[in-house]
Amino acid sequence: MLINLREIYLIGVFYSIVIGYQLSAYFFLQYYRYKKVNLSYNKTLRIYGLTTCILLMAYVFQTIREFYITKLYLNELFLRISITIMLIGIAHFLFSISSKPFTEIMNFIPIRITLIYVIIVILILPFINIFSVMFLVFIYTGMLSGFYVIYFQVKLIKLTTGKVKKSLILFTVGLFFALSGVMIYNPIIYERSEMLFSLISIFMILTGITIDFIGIYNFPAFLEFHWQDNLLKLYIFEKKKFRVLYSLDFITFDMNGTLTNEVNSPITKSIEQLFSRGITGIEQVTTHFLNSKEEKILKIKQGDSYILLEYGDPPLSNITYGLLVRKDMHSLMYFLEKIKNQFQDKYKYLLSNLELIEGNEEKFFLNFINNIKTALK
Amino acid sequence: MIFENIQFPIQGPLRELLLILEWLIILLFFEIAIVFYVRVKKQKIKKQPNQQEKGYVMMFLGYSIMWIFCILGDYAAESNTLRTFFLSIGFFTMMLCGLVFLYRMEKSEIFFKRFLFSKIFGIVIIFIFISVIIGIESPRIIAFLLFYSIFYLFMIIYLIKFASNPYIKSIQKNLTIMTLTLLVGFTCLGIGFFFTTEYILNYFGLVFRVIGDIIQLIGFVLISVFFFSVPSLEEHEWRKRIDKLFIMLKSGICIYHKGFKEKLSEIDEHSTTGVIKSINDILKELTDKKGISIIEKTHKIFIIQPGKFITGLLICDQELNSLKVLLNRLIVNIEEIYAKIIEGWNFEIKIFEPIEEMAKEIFLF
Repeated sequence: MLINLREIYLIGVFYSIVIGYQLSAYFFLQYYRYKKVNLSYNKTLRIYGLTTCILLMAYVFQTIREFYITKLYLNELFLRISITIMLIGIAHFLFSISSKPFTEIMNFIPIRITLIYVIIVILILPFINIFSVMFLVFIYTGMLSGFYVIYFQVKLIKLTTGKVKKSLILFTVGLFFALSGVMIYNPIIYERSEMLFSLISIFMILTGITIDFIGIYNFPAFLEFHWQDNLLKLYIFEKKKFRVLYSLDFITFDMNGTLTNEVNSPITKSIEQLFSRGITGIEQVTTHFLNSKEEKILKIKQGDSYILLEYGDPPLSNITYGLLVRKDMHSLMYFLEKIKNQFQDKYKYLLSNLELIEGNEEKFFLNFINNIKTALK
Repeated sequence: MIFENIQFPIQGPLRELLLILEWLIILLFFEIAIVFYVRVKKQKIKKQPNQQEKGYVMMFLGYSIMWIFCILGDYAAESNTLRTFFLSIGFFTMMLCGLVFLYRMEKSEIFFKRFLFSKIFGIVIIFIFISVIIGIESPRIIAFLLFYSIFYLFMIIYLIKFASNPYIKSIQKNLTIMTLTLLVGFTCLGIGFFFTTEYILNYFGLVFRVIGDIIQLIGFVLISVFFFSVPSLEEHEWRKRIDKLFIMLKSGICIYHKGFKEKLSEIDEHSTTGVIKSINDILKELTDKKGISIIEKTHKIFIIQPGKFITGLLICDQELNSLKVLLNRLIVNIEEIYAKIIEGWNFEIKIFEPIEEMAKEIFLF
């Protein structure tokens, strides 16, 4: 079999460039698709799209230099161009994360100081002729920026929950792989690029980009930031007697203090009753329509609002958890599931003896607000 | 210009460029197969998944695998026997995947006669297999021509059917252009692949292989443009997803009902009266929002579309945009004709009988 290692390596490099540009295009596509929604964190998609695009451009120059440039002066020129482009990409990333809305989650002062340092490096790099000095400056800048990339990702992960969190963790792992691969691939480290290191680096870059794709494909996790803003109302009720055990209006809910809604007002009471009776009624009617066993309603969409529903685990299946929300989000479904588990866990002895607390539900379940506060963080 | 016979494995200055282009073809078709696979996996109805999407997974995957074997045969195999072996595996993989594709497509829809193309294709594969076993040399061109002509004929018929889908017609702009895009895309694949065969290379040289690869990449772009522009293939199977249809007056009286999977019982007819109106009112009260209501149950979806005078209820297996569009269209059509009648209705239910024909026209039953 005529198999040439150079060809395998070349195909690997080519694949990582193509998949990388696809990833970048996907970021832009998602960014423009959700631009109208005007979500501040949607900007993350644009930052990743452009940074990936710039870094790949550097990678293309590097590939051309490594595979097709034989003249020494051209080789050095391409190397300098490649490093400069890479540093521009890093500078763009640092500049973007040190501006709004990321200043809310990151301390922008050290990032801006690093940005100034990177700009200075970009300006002085063409004048550094000693190879080892250039190498040290580049490695230091790359590692410093890599730290910020990971730090930024960790901050973003903290804003999310459930499936979205997993998706972002996967994306970060991919990013870590890809960046490590780029560092290994760097010809400054291996002046005459060793084939083994080159193959390892390509494998790492490809793995990283593929993991990134899996992490974000068809799942705009960035849109789920501030999922809490889409909460409207929570109702926990008992189906047989349509008794509302617990309810919360998130619009008037104050995270730091007490509830501002009047839990005992007649209007609130009647809405609670309507909710418990309405949902139970709809469930019975739709089951009747289907002439089948009891089938649970999972979700109701009315206009542009949603009612997400969860049901207690046996033997507490008579308890229904309803969440009125503005958008259908994975994070909200996860939040409701979490609420259900915590409510069941905390009050399991009360829930199996509900008749004993009839009329005093509010007093018994009042402290559940602390669980909600924790779940919202 | 007639060249000397091309020597395999391919060597020379074009080798690296050809390898890059052909590995790119493999990557892109593999990716599009993955895209369809993810769509299949994400389908909520596991019992009756979309057959067309499953078919496309196989076809694109087959094309990608075939090219891997072509590369092994043309660039790595050092003996002619080994090369023929690799190429044969590649072509048979493609043909088997093509057979699965046709089977899936015909399972989802009838083209002339049930599984007609799958049967013909199966016979062709057996014929080629026997010819390889008894030693007829290079069945590549025959296989290619037979495969392509049957496949092409099928695609033309499929696209004519596709373009006549009422839902697609109603929402897709430039439908003719889009349909042609796919057809041209597949034509490019065929021509491009033909240019990479030994017969062409012996006559015109390796440059034609480069051209062939580029044409295939153009074909890929056109195919992708089509699939990313038209609605998901899940939407095409909306007819299979409808269970029951009810049309009610705002007062709650049911004026039309239809069971698509089984005949409606009397209980169904009576239970509708007033119920949907109540559901709609409750939801309106709970959410402060007007408009379409969608109730998602474990296995069924209830789509409640309120109009000015009437409300439509569609019970289906999947929440599809096509069903919402078609239900809305039916309501608009009914209201356009019956607006004045409903205002002064004398409780004569027979007057609504023509709704059956209107529903037939839209829901194609």
